[in-house]
Amino acid sequence: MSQVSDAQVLLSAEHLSKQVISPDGVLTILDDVSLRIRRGESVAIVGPSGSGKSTLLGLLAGLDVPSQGEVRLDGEPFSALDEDARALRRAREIGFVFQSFHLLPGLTALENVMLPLELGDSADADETARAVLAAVGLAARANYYPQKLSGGEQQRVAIARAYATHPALLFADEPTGNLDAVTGKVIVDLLFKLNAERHATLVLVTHERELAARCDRILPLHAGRLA
Amino acid sequence: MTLLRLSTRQFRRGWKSGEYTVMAAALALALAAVSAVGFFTARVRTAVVEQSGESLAADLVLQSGEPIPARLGEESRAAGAVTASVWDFPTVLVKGQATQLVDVHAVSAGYPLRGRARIAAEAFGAARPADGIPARGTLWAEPRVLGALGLKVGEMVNVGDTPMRIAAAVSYLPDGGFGFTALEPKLVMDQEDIATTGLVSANARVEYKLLVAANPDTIDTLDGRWHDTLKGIRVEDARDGRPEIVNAIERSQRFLALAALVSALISAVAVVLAARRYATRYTDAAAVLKCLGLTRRRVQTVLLLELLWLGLSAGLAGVLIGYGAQYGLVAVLKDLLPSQLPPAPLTPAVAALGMGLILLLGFALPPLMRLGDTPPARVLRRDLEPPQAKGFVVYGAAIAAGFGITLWQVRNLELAFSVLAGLGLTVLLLGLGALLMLYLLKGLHRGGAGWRYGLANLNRHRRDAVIQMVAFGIGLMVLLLLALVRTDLLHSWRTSLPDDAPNEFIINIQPDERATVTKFFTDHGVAAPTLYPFVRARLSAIGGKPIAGLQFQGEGGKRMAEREQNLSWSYDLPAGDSVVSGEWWDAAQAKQPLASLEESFAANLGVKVGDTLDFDVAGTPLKVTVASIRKVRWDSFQPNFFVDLSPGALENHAGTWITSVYLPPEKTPILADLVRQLPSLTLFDIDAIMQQVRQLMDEASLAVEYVFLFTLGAGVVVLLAAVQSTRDERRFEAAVLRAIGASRRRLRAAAAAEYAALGFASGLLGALAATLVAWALAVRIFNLPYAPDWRVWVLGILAGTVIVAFSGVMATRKVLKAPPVETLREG
Repeated sequence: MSQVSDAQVLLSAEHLSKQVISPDGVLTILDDVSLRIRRGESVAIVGPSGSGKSTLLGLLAGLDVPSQGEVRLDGEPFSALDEDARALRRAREIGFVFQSFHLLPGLTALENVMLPLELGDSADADETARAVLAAVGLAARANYYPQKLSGGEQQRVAIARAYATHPALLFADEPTGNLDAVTGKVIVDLLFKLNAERHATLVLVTHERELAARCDRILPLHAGRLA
Repeated sequence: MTLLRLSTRQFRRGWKSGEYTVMAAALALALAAVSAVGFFTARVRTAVVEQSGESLAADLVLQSGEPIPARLGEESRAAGAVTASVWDFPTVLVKGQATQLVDVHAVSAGYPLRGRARIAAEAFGAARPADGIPARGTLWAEPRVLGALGLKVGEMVNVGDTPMRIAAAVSYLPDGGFGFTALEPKLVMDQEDIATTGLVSANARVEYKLLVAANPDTIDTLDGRWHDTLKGIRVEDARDGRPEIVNAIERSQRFLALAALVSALISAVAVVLAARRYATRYTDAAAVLKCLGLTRRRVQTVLLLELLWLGLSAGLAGVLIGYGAQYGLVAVLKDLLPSQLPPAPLTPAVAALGMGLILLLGFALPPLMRLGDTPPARVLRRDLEPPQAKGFVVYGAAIAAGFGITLWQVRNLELAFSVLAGLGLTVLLLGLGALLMLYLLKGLHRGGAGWRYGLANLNRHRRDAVIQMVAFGIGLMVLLLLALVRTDLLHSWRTSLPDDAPNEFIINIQPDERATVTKFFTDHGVAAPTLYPFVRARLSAIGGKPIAGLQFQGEGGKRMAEREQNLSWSYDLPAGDSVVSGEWWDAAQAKQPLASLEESFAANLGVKVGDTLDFDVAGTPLKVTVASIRKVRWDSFQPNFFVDLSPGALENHAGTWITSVYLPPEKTPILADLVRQLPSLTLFDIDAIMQQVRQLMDEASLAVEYVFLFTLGAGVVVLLAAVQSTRDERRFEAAVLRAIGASRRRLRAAAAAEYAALGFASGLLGALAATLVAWALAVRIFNLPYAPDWRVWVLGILAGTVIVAFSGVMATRKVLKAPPVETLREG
């Protein structure tokens, strides 16, 4: 880690831990995790169920706060910010792709993609969203509501939404977890293609070896600790 | 702007997918009830205000029980005003054996000074504006007079001693009033004819009016000069409106508003249930929005905007329904209303929309606002929930909104507190009753699987079941009270009266006619009635202090002090009365100037035993000392007086006599002969008046029932909200049951059993509550024997079971229809 210069680091975690209160007492989900991710790098966090992958992703993305330790984004404190300040940084710099797509059911495919653009006050949200939808091959389905789309199509909309704002950092949580093998492969290809085109940094959580192998680096997680 | 767009998009979609249906229905229903009443009363109020200029037939009216001094007319004319005069008094018209009490409206040339009378060539015929007043020797009659006596325009009728020709049927008189104020039909004739009829004798009950019309400045001058300075003369300015009518409208508005309020508050319960369900379903979306970078406040803004759109759309729908529904109220109350009502103004719509927003902000917003605190990490871990809304916020907002709505509707702080306290107590008692019902239903576990499963469902969703039972119970209770118990109480009162309670009042008996009246009845085999003397007087001072400078408890006391008093005198305490304070005079004291006052009269004036009262009896002063306070039995149907004097007090004052008599139906035709012999007598047929009062009550309570129908609608919406809040759970259970072999029919039977039991219990609660209220009213308030009415129970239980079972089965139909495989895969 020490070989990486600070200027190259986009995201870093120092001594990150997360404990929760469970009926059996305090449960440590993450234990003293430190990592540095360079700009443009693709990193896969892998590990068995319950190893803390999603918790680590949540902390890195500022969706949750650590019990101990710190996350820095672009050299600046990130996890130490309050929820609203983190939300603003997420809006500007981070994109997400989830296992269960998480499209807003009340919005069409186009409107879902436009949403982060509009939240960032983009002047040409409609045009940009249509272009990204076309890039994921869904131009013809722009006005469909999510429940009218197949799982693969929904995930493509989610990828379009994630990349629409040109985020510097993209988090993907088990992006193929809810898809069959063939569709999954198409989605992964699309994800890596767009990531390469847009020079984004990709942090991927998966338990699929093949998918992890396509990343520049693999971070194996076991029982809350990086191996 | 983005949030605005996002909220409109989400709202549009939510509306289409039926996500808002229940909340919108609840809101629309509440606003329909409130705005129907609002539109209706606004129309009536506008009609009254619009007509107020002409509702006095003048700009200024001086009114008194004594003839108006001629100098006042001269003064008016000297100031440039025009004048006319009107005398109003009751009399009885006779045709054959039929009699009809009428209000004679004797007018002078120039009447009406404002507005035009409209007359027709036959009863209810095409009306045309009248030219001037009836010609000498002729009269105009309201259709009711013609109908009652079987008369037609063109025929002759005796008015007092004089035969007169009916020249026209009256269809509108500017100062005729309507239902609220005018009980007796009017007869219009020229004042000049009065002398020949012999109807107006000394001491006859006549209201004398001087009508004045002029430009506003002159009216200001005259009004300013006369107001509060003319002793015994009431001055009414048309610009003040007709306070008695406005008061009547305000009272009825308050009553109808109360009925609408109950619907609105029950609908609020449905709003809370629906909002909680919406909040649950929206949690994922809130997490995604936060994940995409929306701050807590912006998420809340989106939800607030969505509520606003919902409020506006459902509110507008509700207001439109309310607009249609007010026509129903107009139809029900048509006999009591002016024949032409102006179109409704927009104000009630705006007010209703405002109330809708309060309802949403108070009842729907708190459960939704907590979504702003949804942890964004929920996108990764679905078990993360937003923190529960704080109890004091949720309940505080609901109580504030409930109180705000109540205050808005009843416009009186004290009444708002009483209404909410009463409603709260009712809800508490019905809630306890509902819990007991659920406990009893739990014991009924025998029967088919559908029945057992249905009943178990009720107990599983106990909170929802109690809410639904209370909502329906209140609706049914109120409707049963209005529809059945009201008539039961009236019937009980009627049957509690002796069979020979007097049914005819005779007034205006001159001293020299007393013997004739007594002989007339004994000749016809009727026991000689007791005749009571009475004189009219004005109260001038209490305890030596002029009443103009005295403070009274409320308007009632002031009115009682200022109005004309009917004084009687008697040696003995009237039968049925009892002295509550002081003592009735003995033979020796009877020579002193003493008075005995009715208790509420004394309380209103703030008078005690030993105080002195000064009266002005036709210009002669009379000073009496209060010797006793009496409780009067008003429904004895004997002549009763607020003020009874000792014989010594009034021996020097001339008066007329009054009596009441019971005539069996076969003997009532003899009254026509009595009036022929003594034309100046005035007869009041108690049965006819009771009939008319009853008709008014029937129509008024039908209007209130009509508004309360919304309450049942609100009950149905609460049921829909409860079904919706458990829909996912019900769908899953139905899928599991079907997967293990339950037929759709069996599931339908279970739903039917569940809702029929719920409806049965609601009906039982409603009937029980109505019976208890009826018992309390009868025994505690009206001192009447109470006989339970089996129809209350049958109708309550039947209506409850049918309405709830039908609504429940319809609401769950879709849930049971869903293919089980789909649901199980989702689950």
